[in-house]
Amino acid sequence: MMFSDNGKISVRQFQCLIISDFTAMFMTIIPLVMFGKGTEGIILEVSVAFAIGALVLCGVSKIAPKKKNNNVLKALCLFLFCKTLFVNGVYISTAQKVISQFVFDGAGSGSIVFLFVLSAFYICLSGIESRGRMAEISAFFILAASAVIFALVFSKGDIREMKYALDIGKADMGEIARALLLMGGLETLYFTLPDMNAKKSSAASVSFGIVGVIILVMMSLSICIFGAEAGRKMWPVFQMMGNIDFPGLLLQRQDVLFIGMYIVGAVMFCAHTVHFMWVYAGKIFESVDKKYIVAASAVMVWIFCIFWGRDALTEKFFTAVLVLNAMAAVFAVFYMLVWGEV
Amino acid sequence: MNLHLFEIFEDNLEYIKKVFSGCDDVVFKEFNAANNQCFIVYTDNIVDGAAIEEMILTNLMFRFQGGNGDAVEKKGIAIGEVKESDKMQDVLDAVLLGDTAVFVSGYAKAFIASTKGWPSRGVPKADTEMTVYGPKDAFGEVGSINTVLIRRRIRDTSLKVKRMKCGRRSKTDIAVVYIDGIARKNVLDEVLEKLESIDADMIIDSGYLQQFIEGSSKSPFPQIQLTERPDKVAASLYEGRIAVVVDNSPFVLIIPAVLNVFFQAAEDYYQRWEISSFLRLLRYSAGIIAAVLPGFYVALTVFQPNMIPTSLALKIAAGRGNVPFPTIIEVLIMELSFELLREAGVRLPSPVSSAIGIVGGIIIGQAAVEAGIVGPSVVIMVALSGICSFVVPNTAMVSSIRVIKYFVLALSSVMGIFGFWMAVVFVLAHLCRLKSFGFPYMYPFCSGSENGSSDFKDSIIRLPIFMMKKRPIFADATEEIRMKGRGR
Repeated sequence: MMFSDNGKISVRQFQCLIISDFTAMFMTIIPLVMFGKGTEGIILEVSVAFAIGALVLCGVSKIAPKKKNNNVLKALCLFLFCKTLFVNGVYISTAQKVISQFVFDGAGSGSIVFLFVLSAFYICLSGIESRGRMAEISAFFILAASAVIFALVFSKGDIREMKYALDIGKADMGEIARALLLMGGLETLYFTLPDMNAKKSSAASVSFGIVGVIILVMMSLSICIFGAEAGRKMWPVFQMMGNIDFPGLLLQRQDVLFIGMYIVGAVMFCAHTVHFMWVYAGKIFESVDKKYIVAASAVMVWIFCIFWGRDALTEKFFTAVLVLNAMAAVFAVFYMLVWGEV
Repeated sequence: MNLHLFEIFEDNLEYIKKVFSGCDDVVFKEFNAANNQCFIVYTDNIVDGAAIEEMILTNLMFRFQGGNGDAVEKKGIAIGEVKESDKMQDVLDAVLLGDTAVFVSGYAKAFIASTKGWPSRGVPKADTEMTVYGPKDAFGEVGSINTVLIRRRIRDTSLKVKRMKCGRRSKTDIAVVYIDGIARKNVLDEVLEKLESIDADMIIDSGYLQQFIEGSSKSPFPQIQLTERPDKVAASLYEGRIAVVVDNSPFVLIIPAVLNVFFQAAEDYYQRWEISSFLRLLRYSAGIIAAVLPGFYVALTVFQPNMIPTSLALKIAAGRGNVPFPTIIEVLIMELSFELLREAGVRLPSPVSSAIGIVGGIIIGQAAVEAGIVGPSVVIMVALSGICSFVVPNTAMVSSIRVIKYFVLALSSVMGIFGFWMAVVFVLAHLCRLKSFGFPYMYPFCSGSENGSSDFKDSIIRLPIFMMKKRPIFADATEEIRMKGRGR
């Protein structure tokens, strides 16, 4: 029992990575896309999507990747590199819009995303070990902040509003698939498995389940607060946080404090993006020094967000996100079945 | 230099005199002992003069009956620690360290008698880590006395003291102290390897050594703990950590050191656990407040005034009505004044420094507000931040927090609450990257499960001592249990 620079993380760190990398980002993206068609049946649809996601992760966790690199893997990695840049770039641009709207009025996308990628570069430079440690801290922040939000907002909502959100008759398979495809980046698990100290097939599913519970609680709270109006709000979860009122605290708008949790999550997602772009590029360009690939990946994310970030919230981009995530899932599953070891 | 002593007695005398030419504090004394020519050489004022006179000179000149080298050592020099050496460098080093070299004609070796008698201020009282409860003694400048203070607390044959010298010219004595079996061998090897690899001409203080051996030199955070308290060192050794005693320094290095240990005070273990836990919580909160409060204040008042309750916002605005500077400059003026006062207080004699504290804290603060240079809320905020920094029980950590405060302030003043949170993220990311001799700096808050999460019992809270059955992660796994029963 001793720490070493072996580039391995513990099961607990792996679970924290899933929570810290995805919670904040899904908290923005899933309500943004899913509330678009209204709130009817939405909680059921998202619940089923998370349940399917957890099952898929459980299956993927049982597949141990071969260490041998080959041309097919290189081709897959090239596709995943481009897909990660585009999909995660769209998500990071969305986070940038949330931040500029709530806490940094009028700031250009360049400065916000610059700090994101700079911190991501810094976190990724020392490998998955320090990312794992950072995830332990940020997962605690995210879980604690979510619990506090729930405790402070729950009493202010009307739980009867949930009636339509849980209407099984309104749930739509297409919407479930859409929610599932929004959860991009889960294929990265396959590439994280070799970095774990010990394998535990249920670890990923449990932490993904926790992410799901947090997202569902936040979405439910915003429905309880706003009712059907939640569907017409752009950032229902964040606007719901405006109802946070902690008596006696020396602050009037306490939601801005909880944005801190979101910023930590957004940075972790950005670090996740840069890390996996490095993992994919590292398999293609095996001899290139890691720090150059990490730096290049960070710069590419920044450039993407500057030039294409402003269109990130358009239907066209989100359709592309869904298509790319679907393709990544198909290719990754195909690869795992043919070249993985079950 | 591997020069051996000369066969001819006079050659040795001539050579050593030549080496020490111009060193008026080095004393040579030639005499006869039982028809043998002899000379002794020592450095004045760092030796025990009475011991030289009584145990060496009187003995050899008047009582010694003659004989070979063995007889000189056994009958001629009545001092407990006598070594023989045929190397010139050993003789020179010994003389510089306060030992006395004895040369006898017809014998090609020198006797090195331990006659160290340095001027010392004895065992002083702790003045940077004062406590209400617990022992009051502290380390002094004499390395050997410091080692004794540790050994007094650990009467165990497993307590090992490895001596070495560091510094090409200063030849500073260093003692690596650890408990065999409890300290991890790989950490000990790393410490010894790093110490042996130092190639510098001088090691004046343990602070020098710290900078040579700590992992990341680009971090403001200390990765090795410095303490002046022997009880703290003894407790750390029982935890499997390693102490490095440096001669001429009243501070002993403790290796490894993670963030958590800098918030632990010796006193925490001498009083009830509820009180200690409360104090720990207070210290952590104070450390965070000291680092982030000025940045948070600027972010709120400049970028997000709508976060502040209206009545308070109006008071702050009214207070700084006549202030001609923007908030960030106002905060910087007060922060830098506070830093100057603190620095002045450290350098001045203690009666004057307390006067400076009063003058600075009350008069200058009051005058600055009345003159309209700063607002009263800024004075209160800076004072609170300063007081909070004093709550942290380790000076090195306080200095790190001071540096971090300006980083948070800079980002917050440019980007408001977003900049504030990003500064927090950067600091966290930095702390998560750091390691001290292989141990994550954020342990046990990160990787805490590695030791079955038992180290949380002595982190933000301090559970009862009888519940801390396992040693911390620093100890070797074979010695992880430190107590079995509660004793009732």
